[in-house]
Amino acid sequence: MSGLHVTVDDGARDVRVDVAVAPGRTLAVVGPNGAGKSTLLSVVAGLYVPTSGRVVLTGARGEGDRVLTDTAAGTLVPPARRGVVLLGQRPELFEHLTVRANVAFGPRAAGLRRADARDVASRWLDAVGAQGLARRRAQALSGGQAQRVAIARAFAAEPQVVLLDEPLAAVDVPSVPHLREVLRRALAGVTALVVTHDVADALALADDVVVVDRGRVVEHGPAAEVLDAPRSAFLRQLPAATGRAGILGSVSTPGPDPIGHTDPTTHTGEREAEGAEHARRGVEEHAWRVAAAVRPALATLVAPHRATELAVADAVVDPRPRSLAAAAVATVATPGFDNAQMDGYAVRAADLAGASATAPVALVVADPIPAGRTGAPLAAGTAAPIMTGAPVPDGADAVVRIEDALPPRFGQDAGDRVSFSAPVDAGTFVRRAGSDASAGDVVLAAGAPLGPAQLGALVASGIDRVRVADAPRVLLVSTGSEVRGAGEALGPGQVHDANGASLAAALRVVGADVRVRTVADDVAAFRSLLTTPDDGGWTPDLVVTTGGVSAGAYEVVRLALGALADDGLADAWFGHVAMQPGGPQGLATVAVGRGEGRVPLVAFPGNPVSALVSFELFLRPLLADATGLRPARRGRGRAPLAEAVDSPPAVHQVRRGALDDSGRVVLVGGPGSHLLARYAEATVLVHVPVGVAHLDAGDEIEYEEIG
Amino acid sequence: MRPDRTVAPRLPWWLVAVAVVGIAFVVAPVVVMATRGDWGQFWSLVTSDSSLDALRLSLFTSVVSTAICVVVGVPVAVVLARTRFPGISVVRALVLLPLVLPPVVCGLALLYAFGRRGPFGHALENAGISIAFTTTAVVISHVFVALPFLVLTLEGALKVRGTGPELAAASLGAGPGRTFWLVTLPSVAPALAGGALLAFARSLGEFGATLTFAGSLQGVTRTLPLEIYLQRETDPDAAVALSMLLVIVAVIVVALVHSAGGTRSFRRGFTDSVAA
Repeated sequence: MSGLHVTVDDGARDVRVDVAVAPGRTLAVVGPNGAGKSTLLSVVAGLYVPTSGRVVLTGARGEGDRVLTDTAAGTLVPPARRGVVLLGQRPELFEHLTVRANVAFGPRAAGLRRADARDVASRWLDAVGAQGLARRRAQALSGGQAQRVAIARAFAAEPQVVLLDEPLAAVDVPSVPHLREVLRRALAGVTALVVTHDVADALALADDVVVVDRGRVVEHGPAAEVLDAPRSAFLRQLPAATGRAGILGSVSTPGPDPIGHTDPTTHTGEREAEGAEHARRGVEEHAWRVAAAVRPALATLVAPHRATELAVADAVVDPRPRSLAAAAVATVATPGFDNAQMDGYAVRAADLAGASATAPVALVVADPIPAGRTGAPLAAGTAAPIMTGAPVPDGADAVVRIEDALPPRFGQDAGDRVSFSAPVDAGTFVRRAGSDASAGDVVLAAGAPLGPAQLGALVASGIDRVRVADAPRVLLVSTGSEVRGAGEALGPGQVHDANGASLAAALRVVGADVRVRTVADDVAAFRSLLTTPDDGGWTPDLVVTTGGVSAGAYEVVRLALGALADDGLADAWFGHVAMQPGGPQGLATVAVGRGEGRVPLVAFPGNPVSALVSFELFLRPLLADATGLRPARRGRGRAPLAEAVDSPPAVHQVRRGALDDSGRVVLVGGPGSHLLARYAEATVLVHVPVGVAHLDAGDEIEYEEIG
Repeated sequence: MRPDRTVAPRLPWWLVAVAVVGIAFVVAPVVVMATRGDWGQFWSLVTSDSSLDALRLSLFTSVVSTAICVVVGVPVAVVLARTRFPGISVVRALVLLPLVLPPVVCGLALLYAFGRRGPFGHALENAGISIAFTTTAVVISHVFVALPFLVLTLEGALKVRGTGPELAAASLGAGPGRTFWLVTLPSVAPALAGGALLAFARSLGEFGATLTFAGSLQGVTRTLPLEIYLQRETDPDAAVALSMLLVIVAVIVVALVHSAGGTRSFRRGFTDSVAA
């Protein structure tokens, strides 16, 4: 996977932009019409040569750069060899081919054998929930279906860079949310440029945003930051109520409200006053940086090689957080047979054609048809008593309500006569087989959580197997020479691994597959744990460590990752986050085992309360999104304080508390409590944002339910 | 089949009336000619040596020249539809010239180019290849007059369809060759089939250019139209019988192409087998 660097200086279209995308990241280009967004994409795709400009695929670690366009040197790699796929507003499917042949087109062009290309195509069709369309002609698809197939086709070509030009603009409105989710998943870990004028798209799909206006970049930054606090005129004039809060929730950078803003520049004084030697990061910034590092790894859980097939019956017996990796498609029609919508008589409409009030038609009463049984075919000139939901017998094509029959009640014996004083249209009060859902309908979209209602819907639709996202594999490492595992006997100066216990439990509750290791304060031991995991094929998607992140002399996680970074095996950041508890934090990507890619590593402080609070703030929302845990967010609310509270204004303080009988927030334990036992008594986390030094009893405060 | 119950937009009565006259104008002469034929003698007339020779030659040269038209005409149409260069409209007009030239003029042009004393004919003569008054000459004259029909049909279809699918194919990593075979060509297959049919029909009925350039030598260059023209001088009954034969052959060919699903099945069968 390459990064991308584009510079355009085009006099003809008055566009001067310089844009870079890091490998695996998605950059949204937003701006008004005519701002130069499409020119930018055309230049990258090699369809437009600017008067002056360069397009470079920047190699990931160790690989060289590849120049695609360079007007100074006269370089122009033709579109087919750029490794850049352009997906536009219109799907431009090859209409003479089947859907599968369309998706297999890229792999075939790349030289894959036919069978392999078809495999790739099937996996991508699965991923976008279009497996049921594989054999259809592309020309027979609806607009939304076609765009879904076009998405599969673009990603199946495994490009270095994906260009999306208003990919959802021409899609029917009801299909947009689902397609956006499909795209969001497909984009994880892919270098991409998304041109859009829709802020919702930018928030959902992109890591970073540039705002282009009249050919110039006017704003640039991480998506959540830019869109949350827009500076450019273009973004400001967009309606604030585009449902930003909701979308922010779905991309799961923790919402700004409870956490508050940290503008580093305003805290310089305090930082110096505190004498902190490390640059201090805002909670929100750290949250989105963690999200940016972790989410690509979690996105692979729905990848074809990770997603697993699961029997619906097993999921019912063993419910736990799970989400669908591919859309679930009905295998049978519901209802499965024509049935009566009313209690009454099943009749042949033709028999009653001449009925009127003056000349009622009498029919012979046939044997009654109860629900759950199939009646005998209905002979002409007869009417069979039928109950709601019972199968309409062969020959009958309408049901007459019992109150419209003469006599208007059941109880006639077979062979008696019943009269009807009005004709009836064929189909009246008959629920046709397949009228709720026909075989092939999407029952649950990819990404749907498998909760009780969803499991019920699957069973009703005759779906017995689904593809679910794999559980995220989390390697949890407790560091410290003094740490002993739960249940082990303690020597002098040793403590039990409370961190391992509480975090492992917290991770499992959200649906992760957790392995716990304890490591002494020994850099070599920590390194070898990462480089030679002894877990036979089990490689983690995420490493979480506790302890060893402060500025102390023997901080094993810091030292080990520093050494790994020197060897080119890791990128790491260690520093202070403006929060209490849990100031010292670390974030890294690191090569684990013999795996080729990097695995995100989130380093929490060693204090058990700090570690658990950090987990709540930074990791839980991300994991909940990936596993399908519902509700994905802790319940939040505001309540008056039962007591006054003080907080250093430079940090975001997270206190533990509980709601008393009158609904007021009572704090549990002190601000810096290291006692997990007190945390265990708490039912809420209380957020005292940055900038607040003191709150009186009775002041309202934001809380988050944890128990 | 279900009756079509949709309501078509109404047409003005005079338009329908003129259309009926127009159709009758085309159909009536053929019908009248058929009534004048000596049908009792039909079989013996059309199975005479000279007739069979002419029929065989006509079918052979029409099939071969249609094939050549496809092989040459597809690239011409694609280049005309997909490239931009100054003077392209002049080139297009020149390529389509045989459409408007009298066939005799076409024959003369070919004679001067490929005849013994023509620049190409002379070169070929030196190489030991003689073209004038051979079956090859018949094919050359057929291709010359039929090619514009195929080019015109195909170029129109290509322009209407636009380059979106080609750009998509390139973006997916397909080189120009792969894009041509798997995307461009199949997507205009119906137009190609239609153009080829037109070219075949033009070829089957070709008279003037063939007579001028290839002459009228039984079994070698005397195609069915030439045979009909010759017979008309001596044996009008035979001419009518042969004319009816030509009508029947034309009808059969058109019916075959249509019933083979011409367009669709050709297109689908071809591309799916290659693409995936």
